[in-house]
Amino acid sequence: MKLKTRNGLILITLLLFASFSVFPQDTITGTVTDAETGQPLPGATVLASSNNGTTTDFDGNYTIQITSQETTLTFSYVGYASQEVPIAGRRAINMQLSLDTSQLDEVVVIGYGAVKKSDFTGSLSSVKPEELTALPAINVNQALTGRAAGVQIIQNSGAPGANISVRIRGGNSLLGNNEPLYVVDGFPINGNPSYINPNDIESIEVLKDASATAIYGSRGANGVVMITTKTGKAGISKIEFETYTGFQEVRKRIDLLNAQEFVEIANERAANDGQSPFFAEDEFASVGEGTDWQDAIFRTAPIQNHVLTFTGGNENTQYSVSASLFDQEGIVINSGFERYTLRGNISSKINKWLDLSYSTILSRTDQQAIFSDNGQRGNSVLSAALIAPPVLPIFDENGNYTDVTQFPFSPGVAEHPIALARERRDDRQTNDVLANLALNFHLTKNLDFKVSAGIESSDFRRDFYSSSELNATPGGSASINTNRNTVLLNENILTYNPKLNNDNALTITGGFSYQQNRSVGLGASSADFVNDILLNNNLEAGNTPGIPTSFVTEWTLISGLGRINYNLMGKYLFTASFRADGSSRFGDDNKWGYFPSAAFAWRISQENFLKESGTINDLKLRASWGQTGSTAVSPFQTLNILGPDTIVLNDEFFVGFAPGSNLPNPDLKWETTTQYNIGIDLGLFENRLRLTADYYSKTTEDLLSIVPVPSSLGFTAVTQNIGEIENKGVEFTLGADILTGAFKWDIQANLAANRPNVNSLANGSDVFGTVLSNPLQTSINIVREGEPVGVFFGFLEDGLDENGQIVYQDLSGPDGVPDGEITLDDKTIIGDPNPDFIYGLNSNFSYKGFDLNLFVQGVQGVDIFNFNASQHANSFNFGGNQIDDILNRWTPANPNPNAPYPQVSVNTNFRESDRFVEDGSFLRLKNIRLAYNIPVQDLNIGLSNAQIYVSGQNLITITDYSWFDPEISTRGGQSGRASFSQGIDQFGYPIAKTYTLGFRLGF
Amino acid sequence: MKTNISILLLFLVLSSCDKALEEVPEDRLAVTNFYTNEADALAAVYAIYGPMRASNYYGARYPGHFEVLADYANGRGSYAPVSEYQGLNTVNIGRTDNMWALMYQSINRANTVIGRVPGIDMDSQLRDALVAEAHFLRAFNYFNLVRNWGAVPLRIDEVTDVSTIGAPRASEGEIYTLIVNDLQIAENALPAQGTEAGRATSWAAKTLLAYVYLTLEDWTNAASKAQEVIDGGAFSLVQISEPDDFNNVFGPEIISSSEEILSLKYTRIDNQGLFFVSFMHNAAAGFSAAGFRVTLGDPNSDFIQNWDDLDFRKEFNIYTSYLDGDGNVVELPENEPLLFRKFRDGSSPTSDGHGNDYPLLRYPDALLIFAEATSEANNGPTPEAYEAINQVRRRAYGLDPMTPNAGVDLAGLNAGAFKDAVLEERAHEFVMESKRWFDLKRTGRVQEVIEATGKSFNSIHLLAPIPEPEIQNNPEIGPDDQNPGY
Repeated sequence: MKLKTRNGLILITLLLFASFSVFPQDTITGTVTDAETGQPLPGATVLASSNNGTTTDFDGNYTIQITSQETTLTFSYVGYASQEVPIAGRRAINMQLSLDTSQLDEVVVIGYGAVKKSDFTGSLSSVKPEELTALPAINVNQALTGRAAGVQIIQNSGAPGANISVRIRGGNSLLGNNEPLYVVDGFPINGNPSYINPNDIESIEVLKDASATAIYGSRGANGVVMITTKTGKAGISKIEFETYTGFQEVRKRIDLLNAQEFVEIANERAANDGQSPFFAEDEFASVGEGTDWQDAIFRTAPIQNHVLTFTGGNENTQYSVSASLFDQEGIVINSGFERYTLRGNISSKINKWLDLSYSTILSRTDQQAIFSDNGQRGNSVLSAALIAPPVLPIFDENGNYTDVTQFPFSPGVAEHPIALARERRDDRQTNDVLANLALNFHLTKNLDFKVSAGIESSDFRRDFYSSSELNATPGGSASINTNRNTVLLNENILTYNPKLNNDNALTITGGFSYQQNRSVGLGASSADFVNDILLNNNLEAGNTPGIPTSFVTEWTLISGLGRINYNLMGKYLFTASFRADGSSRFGDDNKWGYFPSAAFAWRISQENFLKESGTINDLKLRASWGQTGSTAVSPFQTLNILGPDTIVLNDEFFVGFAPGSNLPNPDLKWETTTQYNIGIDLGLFENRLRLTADYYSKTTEDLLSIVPVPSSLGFTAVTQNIGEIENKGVEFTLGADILTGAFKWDIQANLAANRPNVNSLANGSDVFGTVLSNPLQTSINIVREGEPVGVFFGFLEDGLDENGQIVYQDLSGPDGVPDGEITLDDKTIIGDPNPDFIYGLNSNFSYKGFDLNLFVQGVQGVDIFNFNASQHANSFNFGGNQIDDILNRWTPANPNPNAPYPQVSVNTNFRESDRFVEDGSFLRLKNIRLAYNIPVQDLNIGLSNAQIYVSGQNLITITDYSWFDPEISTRGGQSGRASFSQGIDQFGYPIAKTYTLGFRLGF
Repeated sequence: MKTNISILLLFLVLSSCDKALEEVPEDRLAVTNFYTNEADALAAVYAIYGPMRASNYYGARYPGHFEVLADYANGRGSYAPVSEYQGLNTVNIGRTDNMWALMYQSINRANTVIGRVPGIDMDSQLRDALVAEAHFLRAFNYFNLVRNWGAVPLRIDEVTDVSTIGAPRASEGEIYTLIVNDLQIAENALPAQGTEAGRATSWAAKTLLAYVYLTLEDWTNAASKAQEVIDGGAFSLVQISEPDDFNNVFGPEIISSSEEILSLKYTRIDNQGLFFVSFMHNAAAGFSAAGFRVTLGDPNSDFIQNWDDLDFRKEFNIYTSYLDGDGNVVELPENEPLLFRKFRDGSSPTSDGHGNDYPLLRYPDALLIFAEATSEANNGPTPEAYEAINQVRRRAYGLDPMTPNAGVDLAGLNAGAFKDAVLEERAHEFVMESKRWFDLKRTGRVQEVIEATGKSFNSIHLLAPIPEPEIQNNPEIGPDDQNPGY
């Protein structure tokens, strides 16, 4: 044994020196060019057979050291066919590479395997790493915006680190998560991959039709996003450093009344309401412009990202390791987000029958949150800045925060906007670990058995302290909340790949998986501190400790799965898959769900009559059917559960036990989504023009929903399987290499239109979305039979009456006809947050070393319910500042029944009406980037490539939306009522305009 | 051999599946293993009080709403439309909806106790008392429902699933029948003294029953129930010698007093205190942790003008100025010149952490119900009726309640004048205790009294709207069943 080790060491030493000491060396030089145009190909890979390799410089030149052992060189370049040539003693080898007409033969990652794209029978969109990193994106979801047909990214808020909603082909569920399943290197993770730096990603495949997603069974209904992180390549050791830094600013501000106008409006309200003026004339005669509170909360904020990646390996073992730092400060003071990641992938052929791969991501995110979205009457930073009276200075003469609620009209809950941002600590820190080990046993030549075990662990801690400077917490209030979520996964997959003959290829995949998710949490709080110095770091220093909280929830998913891919003569492709999922979340009789799928594709271009076509080089028709599911319900919904309710007797706590506000339902079962898809893939002119089109129809039955019950039951809601939703749509993806010469120009475009419809609901009853705040206090979004999901429900206005009050249209009454009274019967559909279509257009120009990227993205035919107007264009109802447009109001002197704003009075009532519905369509220059590739290889300074670029995001936005930004949906969320409460803007944190300068260096 | 092992493994995997998929909650209790012993029964009863203490009910918004409905207070900010008496706007409808939901949540919890606790093997006297406590609290909530919404759905069984969604509006008569029955059960089975302050007793049941009879204008029964409470001798008025002595009744550190019949208990802890205190005050006055100034008084109103300065309740209950941190007198701003201060706690840690309890029934209730009902039943005040109201008055003037005092005592009034005097006495005695609006309603004086303050009154305002979710989801209630004007 000892001897063996020593021999091994010697062998390794020998090997290490072998390449430059033992064998005689030679140098080969040459140029790699495009066979058709003769243009040099910079960055092409030249690989000697011993896996010693290099890349070409900017002029396509290369120099490679070889030993006498080498017999061949392999030349490869993205999009071109690789060529291997014998060296045959030559010292200069020039190579001409041709465009790879079978570019569709790229391999795409699918569930539990990978297939050649040409053999794939389903519908997917691939997103390349250069698209993911083309602009500063905080995470994968944001980077996907506009990149994949049928994938709608809804930025719920512009706050750094805020949630992003992703809808693939529309939402299927009223209760469940409508977010896709994310599978990172084979591991179906628990939520969003927000802990991954987009620079670490090699490719993303978005699986869309049921043929592709049914293998994920009960979690496949919303589509699956397959994320593959970067891996090493044999023979090339590379160090890459990518960095950018920039700054962000708010895109626009709201035009509010200045101090003088504010005084006038306030006094007009007093006069109209028969009160004495709020401001004496002399007192505020010269207030002038007053304070611009928006100036006080917005700032120009820096953003930066730095990534260092090491990749390399040999034929048996490859690695990729990276470290990154992302730091974004928010455009509203005291908000920000930081992320640090460490990632490693290693894969190794241990021996003839065993491969090992291990991947791990460690991530720390720090979010500095402020209360912004969904505030009201000045209790959130944004709302407070807009509510604050411009007549007041920010600080009083003693340097203290001005009392912003000092007037009789002031909303009681309003806070000083700066104080609210600065004097409240809300730090949310998460440590994420994703680690997965896979062993692949080659049992026979055709049979592989892959066993993997992994863990995803997320440790979250929120530190909160609200200082005594704030009205709501005069003694200071502190809390700490922690939550640990742990996912354990074991998968055991057999893959059988018999080599039948040239005309018949078969792949059979089957296996079992076990996944368990356990979540535990703890919370503690305390209040009434001597001073604010300790923040929440010493809860025992508070005079009045709060009641501690804790929770434990757990769910388990046990699955069996199988898939057959059959390829007949390279023309006729068949796929069938099946999954059985057992979930702990459902009642005893409904634990198991079964999810089949089938698909067929015909590669017409392989038929003899097209094979020789000069125009059509690829043509494939696809058709698929399948069923997927959604577990939708959170754990314990089927059980009759009692929770604690603490009361006080004497002066002590006593704990009662009673059911919560949701009625249990033991009969809950799976939501099942049945999806049909037909599609076509077309490649023309040697694939310079590529078109993919898909039509789909999805129907979700046994829809789970939290249905409101009459509150006289003592409950407010129950979870039920209540109905059916349908999503139909088309998707187009176009790619074109318009110019391929020295001046290169290519474009990628996508467009998708989805039509959601609610087919049926239990008893035909409507389901209502999240209830909004004062003054509307009602649900705007409604789910109603025959309508799209989540349309806006409210009154239609009909001008103003003789008293300057809003007239609502009398559409109906108890008997279905107008009854002369404005009641709930008069409410109707007043808007639709579902877009007519969404699109993205990416264009790359390159000439010499310059690259210009333009990325345009947009949403068309979508409504936004601008809740903000109900507080800032509301007749000074709450005494908050108003938009300056309200000066066009109704007044007794100018009793215009068509004035856009009613009389200024505390008694002017606003209901949920079309007044607040605005067109939220936008077209936005999401990114413009100019890059220059410095010809560093000529400089001989050890750099293999270097790029410098400047870019700007959201520089141009064309929209009619009146508030900060149309990319907003503050009540939107991932599950429950929030998932269909889209399109509301309630003091959303606006998206920023960004300017960046970046470098990419390769060594 | 290999095949055999595979089959065995497969079998093990499959057979363990069902067990692995069984759902066992670890952080909450299941109904199936609850309601089995005395401790469970107690916990089920405590839970009935939970919704009543909530900020959307007695914790803040119920008194907030009903005190600004009263003639002596005007709502500020979002409460302003409530005291404009032109029907409720959406903000305030949202608030009454929340109250409705909490009342019924409390009722469902009471129904659970009434349905399940009798089956528990435990001390039978305690068991009966706990069930009676549930009857009391159910009646209490229905009393609030029927007075504010009129006919409402009658729910008397625990709800465990969706099979019982539909329920029509039962007539006010049916609701009152249930209330009276419940309270009769309660007065017979509840103990005379609760194990803790803050729990219902037989005296509370009798007092509430007297109040219900008074509302129904059943004067004889109202008088006799109130008399039972008075004759029982369990309560006495807390004596005061200066205005701030009323803090011995309403102050934040008082656990109970000799005149407390039933209070909702709060303690000086974040989220466990009386939030309403923040609704009453100007924060600068130092009486509360936050100051929303919701309940504004009018110094020129009859209520204030006719209030004798020698009545200690006046100084205790209202303020027009306060002392700032440096001891200087600061007048309240011109637009908000008068505020109420029955409940004060300058040491509250947070806006909802005031230690003051919220009184539901006090001994003065029994005395004043007795006075009013006796006079009504006898077409004029009897000596006993005078004595009852005069005890309340004497205490208010810092005198011995039991010793007649010609300077303070009422005398020589006819039936109508006596009724007016009782109502005025109730207004002064119970200000901020959510009673005045109901006095105006039950006596049919709302319109007259509100219009006397110079406002116009729309009768829509007499009832709150049936909540939208109820109309939308209760198949037995449609839009036609809505209260008038909504």
